[in-house]
Amino acid sequence: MGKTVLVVDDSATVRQQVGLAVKQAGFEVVEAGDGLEGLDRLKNVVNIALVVCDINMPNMNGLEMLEQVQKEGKFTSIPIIILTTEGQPDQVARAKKAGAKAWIVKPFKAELLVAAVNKLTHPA
Amino acid sequence: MRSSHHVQFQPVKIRDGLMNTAETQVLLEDYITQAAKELFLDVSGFLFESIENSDWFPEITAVLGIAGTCVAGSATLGTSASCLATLAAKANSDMPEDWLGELANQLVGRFKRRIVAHGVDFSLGTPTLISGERLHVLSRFSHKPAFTVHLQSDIGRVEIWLEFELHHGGELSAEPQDDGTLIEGEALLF
Repeated sequence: MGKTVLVVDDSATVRQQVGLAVKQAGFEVVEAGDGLEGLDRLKNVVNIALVVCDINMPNMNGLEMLEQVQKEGKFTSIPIIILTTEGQPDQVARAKKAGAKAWIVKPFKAELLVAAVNKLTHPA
Repeated sequence: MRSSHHVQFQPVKIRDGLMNTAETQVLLEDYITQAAKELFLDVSGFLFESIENSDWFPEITAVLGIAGTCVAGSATLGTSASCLATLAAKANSDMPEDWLGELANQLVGRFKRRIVAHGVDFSLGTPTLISGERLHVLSRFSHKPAFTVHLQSDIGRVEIWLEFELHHGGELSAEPQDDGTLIEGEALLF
């Protein structure tokens, strides 16, 4: 079974765009529309190799999801890339402290995202 | 790894000190217009130019709330169904309404990056979509600043409405400061 990327974003279009990019790089994709769904997918979908996660989402935002993952401790080995319109240093620092491995500001270039995904899922 | 591919408009310096209401209004309108033109060029390749308002109403509009310690307001991004269909096709999206919501999110995100450089921070709400004939935005505040920006391109028109109220002593610094905020398209690996 191939490696799976979990895409967490309240925009179905963004989930589609990210999905298209990582599928072309050989990954399978599962989606979630907010942080709560994202946590549920992590618990119930096997072989998730990486998460791409937005910040501003209803129900549970990306930073809250990240901090919950860190608190629960079970999925902290899965790298998380934040993909968002935000870019302020305090938010980036908060995400880094909560275990995120990368931060990309929308709109993203597919090749840049895929490069980050490959780097984080194929550690040297 | 840190990389960016976009050419960005630069923040505007007015003078030293804090801005008065008139300068604030000019800046807000300038920044939201810059952000919109830049966004549409980035995501669609189409150049949108500023035009005067006329008897034109969007057919579908995304609404997004703005809230912070010293700021409250909202922004809308509206367009025609045909313009939105073209924008969505350019984004490889078969969900035009969803894409409009995301465009509103990215528009206000770009606007926020410019405003944060002047010392005022705020959070964005999640977008809501409204469709109908002759959609017309009304401000709650007759005495507070709210304005509309109209842009046109080869694929149609967009209308942006912004209400951005500073309160509790909130003021924009006249000179923008670079606080290290990442720009659109930038990627950072930790």
